Amino acid sequence: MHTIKGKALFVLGSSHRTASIEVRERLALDVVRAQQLAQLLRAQQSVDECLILNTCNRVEIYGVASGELRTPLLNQLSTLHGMPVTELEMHSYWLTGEEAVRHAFEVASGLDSQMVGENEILGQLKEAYAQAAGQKHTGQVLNRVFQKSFQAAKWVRTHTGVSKGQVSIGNVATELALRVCGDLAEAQVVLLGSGEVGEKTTQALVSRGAERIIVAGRNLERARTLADQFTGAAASLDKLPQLLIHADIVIGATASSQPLITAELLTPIMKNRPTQPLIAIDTALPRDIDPVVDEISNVYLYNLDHLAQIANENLRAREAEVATARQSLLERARRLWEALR
Amino acid sequence: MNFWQDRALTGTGCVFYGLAFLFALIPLLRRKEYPHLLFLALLIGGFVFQSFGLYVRGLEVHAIPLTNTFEVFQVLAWASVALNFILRQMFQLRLLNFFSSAFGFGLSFVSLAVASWDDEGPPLEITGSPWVGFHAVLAIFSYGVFAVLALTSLMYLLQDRALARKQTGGWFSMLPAIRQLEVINAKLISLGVSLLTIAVAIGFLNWAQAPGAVGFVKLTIAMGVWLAYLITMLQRQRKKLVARHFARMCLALFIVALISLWPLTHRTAALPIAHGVDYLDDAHH
Repeated sequence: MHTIKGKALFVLGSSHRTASIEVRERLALDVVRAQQLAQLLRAQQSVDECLILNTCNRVEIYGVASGELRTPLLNQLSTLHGMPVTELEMHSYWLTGEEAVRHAFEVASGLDSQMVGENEILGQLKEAYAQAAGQKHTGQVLNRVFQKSFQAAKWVRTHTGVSKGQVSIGNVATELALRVCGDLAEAQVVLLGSGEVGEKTTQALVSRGAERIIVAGRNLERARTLADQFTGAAASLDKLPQLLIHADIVIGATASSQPLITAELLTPIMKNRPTQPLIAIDTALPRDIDPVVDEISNVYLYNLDHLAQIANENLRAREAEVATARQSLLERARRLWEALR
Repeated sequence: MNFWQDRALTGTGCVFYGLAFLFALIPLLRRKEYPHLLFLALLIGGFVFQSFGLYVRGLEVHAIPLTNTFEVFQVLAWASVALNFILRQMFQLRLLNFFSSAFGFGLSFVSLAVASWDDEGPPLEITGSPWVGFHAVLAIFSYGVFAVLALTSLMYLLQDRALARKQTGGWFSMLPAIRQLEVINAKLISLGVSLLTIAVAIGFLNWAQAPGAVGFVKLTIAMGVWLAYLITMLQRQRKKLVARHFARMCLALFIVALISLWPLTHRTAALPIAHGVDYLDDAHH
């Protein structure tokens, strides 16, 4: 039985496991659309509880509802994203009951993350939960599932070696920057936007010696506030071509729906600085940097998928830890599911 | 000292270089750190044995040991390892020691393996004029610089390829940064070309005194190598030839330069005696 008193616990989602970065770009929700979707769901009589987890690597809808909800949900998402239902089905997953609980546990613990063992997802999940709870979108079931998932995540981090080693995007990006620039003290870092991952990446670069930071944003005040954290300078995104002339490391972290750095923009700039390589770290989704840029001589482009792939090279050493953690989470999920029923 | 003593010493040096290379290669293939102290001890050991072997050979031929292909290859390996020690300290270039051990071993091994290279007639004197000796030493030292340039270019290409293909770990994380290699490559080509230009100028003055002493083919090859490096350096300075294209060119040029050593060190028939520079032909390596 996958129901609790006639209601089904479900999760409908799409993540790096089922969708490429190009598809995830199309499925990405901005804050406004995520809130609209949550309200739309709660307005439905059959939905008792719901929570939307929206990160750069996953969009997931957790809910408790009566009756068949998968098809109507897929239809709603299809309309929202302008993507055919068949394509949406191909790139999504639908889990119910105990499987949904186990999935929530694994997501919270970083086991389902693109960079296995990373910590950022727990913060994002807690934020999503706080938001949903604040709007009274969660109830008895989701409250219990998520509170238990936070405990499970804590257990995994304390009792297994899953999170050991280089697992944050910031660390990976810093290692790559060192391989291109060498000494980071002299490197000019340009952070585009104020996305969380971009900010953390810049923080990691600063912790390894980067001193020359420029934060460029559409909102200059916001850029200035962030730049102050790194004792850097702020600039308008309109000045991007000038900023790129001297940049050694550029980090994309805006919410722009279109790439800001294109081959047309970068090619003439790189021709004028042929002996100065550029490392471009794109942490945004939709992407800030056109993938074609990678073909320009002396430009090394890394997006979220590349960074995750590099981070997971360390995973082999931690596979036994991951297996232990998964088994433990499975048992915990089973116990909770039995208690919920 | 007999003839085999110096070969035994240079051979021991070669074994040490080979062991150093192997002791580093095996852990690197397993994506692990190699034992740096042991590696360095072996590399220094190889260098000491090779230096002593060349010293003994010098005493034996009463000249700078650049009188046949075997000696030229040995001195070239020696010069590149010596330069590696200096550059490693100056620029903290990671893995340069490792590549130098491979190069030192390769060159030394080949020169020992091809017995005929050490049997090219009686040893040729190059001590008659100090300028000719100076010319020869400078020329071979510039080749040593080009050898290190080829190694750093190879490291550049490996790092560039790994970054472009999003490869990490083991080898690649230990290679020096792209920017660091770009700077060092620019400095090395300037140093190499400067040394070779002085060597060519001295050689030219000697040639002017005895024009028939150097065969046309040798002269063309020697000038060709010098010109090729000079043009490459100028193109680099004008930023027309940079990054991976420059590294590829340096690597290709060094292969050509290495091959050119054979005709350059090969003795032409009888040399005319003119103003005490009868050995000029063989001195321009």
